[in-house]
Formats: sequence, C-alpha cells, structure tokens
Amino acid sequence: MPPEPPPELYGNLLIRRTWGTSRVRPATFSHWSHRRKYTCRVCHSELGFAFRADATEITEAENKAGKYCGACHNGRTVFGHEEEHCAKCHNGNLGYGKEKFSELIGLPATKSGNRVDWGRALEEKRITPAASLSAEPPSDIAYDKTLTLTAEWAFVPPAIFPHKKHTDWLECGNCHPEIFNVRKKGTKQFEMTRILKGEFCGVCHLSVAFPISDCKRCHPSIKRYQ
Amino acid sequence: MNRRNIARFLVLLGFVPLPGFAPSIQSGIQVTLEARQAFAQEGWREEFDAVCAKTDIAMTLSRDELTDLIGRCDRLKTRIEAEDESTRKVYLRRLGMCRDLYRFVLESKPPAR
Repeated sequence: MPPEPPPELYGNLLIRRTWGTSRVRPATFSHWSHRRKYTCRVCHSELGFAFRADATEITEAENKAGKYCGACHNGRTVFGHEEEHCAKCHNGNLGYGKEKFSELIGLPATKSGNRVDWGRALEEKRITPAASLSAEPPSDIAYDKTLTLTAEWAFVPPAIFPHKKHTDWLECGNCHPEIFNVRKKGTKQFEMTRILKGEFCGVCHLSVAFPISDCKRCHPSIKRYQ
Repeated sequence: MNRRNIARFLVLLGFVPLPGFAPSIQSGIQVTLEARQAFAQEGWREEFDAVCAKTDIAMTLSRDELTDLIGRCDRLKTRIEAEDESTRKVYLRRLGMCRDLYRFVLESKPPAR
C-alpha cells in the first residue's frame, strides 16, 4: 500500500507543468477545500480538467479568459488572477492553507484519507457542493445499480460498487469508457496490483477519494484488515 | 431583383452605409462578420449543451438515439475545431467524453433483433 500523507495533505497536489521553464512556482491545489463547494464533475467534466495532475495544459491567459481555474477564480466568485493573489496558488507549498482544515471538524469521520466520510457528509447534506457552474444544474443520474464484484483471491470477500455513491459526485462519462471500458460481466481485470498502479478505482482511490487501505469500505465483509 | 431591392438588401447586410450615418463599408463588414461569428458560436454552444445533456440518461436511450447522438457529436466536432485554441481544448475534450460514453453504451447493448 502506498504511504498515506497526513489528513490535511491527503488529496493535495502541485501542478508543476511549467516549473523549470518559467519563474512561476508550482500551483498548489487542495481537493478537500474545493469539494466542499463543488462536486468532482464541475472540474473534471465541465471545466475539462483531466484526472491526472499536469495532464491538462492550463495557461494564465486561459484562466484570465474564464477557463479552467479562472471559471471561479475571477475576482467575483473568489479571488482572481491579480498579482497580489499569485502566491495563494503559485507557492509550491503542498500544505498551503492547511490551517483551514479545522473547518472540516464536525463532518462525518473515517479512519483514513482526510478522515472525513465525504459520501456521508453529502448524503446528510452537511455539505452541499454545486453540481454545475451553469444556471441549469444537471439532472440526477437515475442509474443506481450496485455491483457485487468477486475478488481475485478466494479468501477476500466480494467488493461492492454502488453507482449512486459515485454519480452523486461524477457523471457517467468521467469513468466510462476511459477508466472502466467494460462491456462484459466479470471482474478479472480489476486486479489489486493494477489498482495500486493507479488504474481503475486507483485513479481516485489512491490519492483523493478514500484510500484503498480502508479495505472495508469496498469489501464490507472482510474480517481482518489494517 | 431590381436595383432598388438589391440596394435595400445590401443596406440590410451592412455592406452599404446609409447616408448621414457614415459607418464605413469596412466596419459594416466587420459588424456583420462579428454578428455571424457570435451567432455561429451560440449555435454550437446550444447544440453542445443539448447533445451532452443526454449523458445522464445514456443507459435508457435506444440504439437509434445513441447512433443519432454520436453523429451529432461528430458534426459538432467539426464546428468546434474551427474555434480558438482554448475553446477547442476545453470543448473537444468534453465532447469526446460525451461521444465516447454514447459509443460505449451503444456497444454494450445487446444487438437489435
């Protein structure tokens, strides 16, 4: 299992695409501070951010034109791209803004990741993130089938995959077909070794969504873990 | 079309300035082009929103509906490819996600009998 950072750093990343070619320090981004206000689909679908850091070519000009970060960081919704604000993002500090982590106290707790059960926080309306930046939010996704996935080892009980828990945050196109290009029933290809390399569930459940070290969240019948 | 109607037509298009208003022919053309570009952009944005709005119900769509949506995505792609670079970057990626999902759902469906 990959080592887990402290709760306030879990899901934080540095966007360092131009680091080395420009004088600008890498931009820090904290998932926990953004997901309280917006669901994943807003950035990873509506705004066009790829799931992998640095895979999206974000430019200052585009931000200033209201694309990518600039869709919100425009000086109206939240601080904009004026010079006095540069260091709020371009500081190269993964832990920047961690003093605000205390704002999460009181949300449903877990033992891993940010120590916050984000799914439950959403269900219980303890957080109400916007699902869209447009005036007409997307409709709820009706497909809510829960899949039972047989594990690759006989001594590991099946994994449960509830679509609803995922479509609360994402839209179908976020996962299908790019991450889960699955047309046949079966789970043979979802090996843990591949998940640990960042494929399938590992795209999110290694660094942003609850980590896979929290075995019971997916394999609820498992007896011994951690 | 007689000469008078041709003149009216040109004035309406903005190619010929009306006496007393004095916008140049060049600016008339510019206004017309900008209006056309704005209209074209509005057109593709509306179509984009309409096409990608169906991803939430993709599983419930018939094979014909999915095929139609894939075709609309392909036509839309050509229009977006004519836009500026940042628009292309954002919207072609989103459009690709929509199209890929429709294709995925279509290919996942059992063949029609």
